[in-house]
Amino acid sequence: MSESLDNVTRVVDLGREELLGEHGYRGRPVILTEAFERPPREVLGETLDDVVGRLGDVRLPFRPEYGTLLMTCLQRGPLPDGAPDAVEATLAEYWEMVRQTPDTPVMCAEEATPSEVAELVGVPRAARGDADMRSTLFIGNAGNVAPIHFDGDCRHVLLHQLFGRKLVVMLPPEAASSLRSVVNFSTLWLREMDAEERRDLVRRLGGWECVLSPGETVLMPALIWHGVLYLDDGMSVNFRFGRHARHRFVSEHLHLDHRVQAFAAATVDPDTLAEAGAYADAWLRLVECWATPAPTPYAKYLELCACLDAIAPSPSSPAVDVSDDLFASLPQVVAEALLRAHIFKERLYLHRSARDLRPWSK
Amino acid sequence: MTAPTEQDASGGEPRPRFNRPGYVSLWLSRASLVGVPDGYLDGAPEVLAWLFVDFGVAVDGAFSTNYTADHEVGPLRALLDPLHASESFADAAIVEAETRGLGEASFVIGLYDVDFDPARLGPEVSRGTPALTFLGSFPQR
Repeated sequence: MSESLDNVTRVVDLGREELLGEHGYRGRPVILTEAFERPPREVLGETLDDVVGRLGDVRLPFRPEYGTLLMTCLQRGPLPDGAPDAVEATLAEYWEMVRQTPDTPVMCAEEATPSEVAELVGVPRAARGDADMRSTLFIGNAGNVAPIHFDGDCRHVLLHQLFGRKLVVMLPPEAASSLRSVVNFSTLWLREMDAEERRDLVRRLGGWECVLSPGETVLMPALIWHGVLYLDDGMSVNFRFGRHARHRFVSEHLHLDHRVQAFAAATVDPDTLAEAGAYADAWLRLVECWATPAPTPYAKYLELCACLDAIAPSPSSPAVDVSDDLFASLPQVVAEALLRAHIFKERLYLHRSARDLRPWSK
Repeated sequence: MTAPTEQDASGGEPRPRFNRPGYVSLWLSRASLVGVPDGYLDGAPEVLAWLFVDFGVAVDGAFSTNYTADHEVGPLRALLDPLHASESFADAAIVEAETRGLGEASFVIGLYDVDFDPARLGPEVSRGTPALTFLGSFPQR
């Protein structure tokens, strides 16, 4: 049996309009086998040794993957004061460390792609010319995991595998009702599930699974739930693009949770926004709610939850029955604390004046 | 006696600060905290963030925390007594707690030289959630 459900369509390449129109806006992942004008493997090769040979001197910060670190801290306590947030090392030094400690949780996750790497890799055709495009790197050893989450920047993501293989799990935003999420992370233990259990759950949740091989690029539509299992030592680079202005507002000014995700996912297609009627009214109500001063950030959070519940464009799918054993056990108070920490860290809902409304009310 | 510690979680934003020398403001939790590592209850940034997000209180001065050994709710008096300078405010705090049916708690935090008043933020601000409830502000020596 295949390692994954393997239910993501593979095509050679698609133009930006078709890629977003047929896949991004519809929430359907797709794998591109030739997404670049000049495939990065022609410059970098497609093995660890090839890439280290070209990029071994590149310095990057390495740290435990964020979601894994979060889960560990929740169970064992916060990091001690003064504990280093990240260790800086060259790519060659990191892989030497992996050779000595193959099960290290330390990796490079979502660091801005250094210019010397970006120049060699290039940009996929579909993401070119997007001034709002961002690129980040993922470098990690076999066995590492990125827990299931959605990205708050509301961009579509082209994830290109440079070497090694990754198993990518993707679930539609509507699966939120079954994922017991806290902020933008599901508490589902992806790492602990056996392959059959995982495939069955992904199927029941209407999701997708694929093994991404070197040279392949998967489109993860904006706001989709996704998690990654590192099958091999690997390195990938992503290109985050295709966001419209109102989603920039969402990513910069609203908290992350399943309500915001559901609303934003239903308005990914800019043509939806151009339509007069329900969505336009809903956006205006949301922005007005956000811009009205509140006595505390939490009071504003509650107002926005009520607003989103009132304007939600579609109900989430009915919850799928998932065994409790598959979820991390988090006390309710911890989930509430994480929400507050997120609002605090992102400095949300501190505005005091309705003048903030103006740029977003059109 | 638990010595107060200091940490800056002000957020750097213009907000009512409630600073007032000689007062201590107390919050308590009536939730079970089983499964929450002690490191958080000792005053981790997450707890201070909660005070800022729910109550608009920027913690930039001294504070003390205490919690029950089993992280379940227990008599409030036993939680208050070890707090710094509690002899000057514990009795008044217990009277207030009993009046409001808050005689048991799993966690307390006191902010020193802070005279928090939810009325200054407007009528919408409640006294919190079961996970963190504002008990009151009391003179402290």
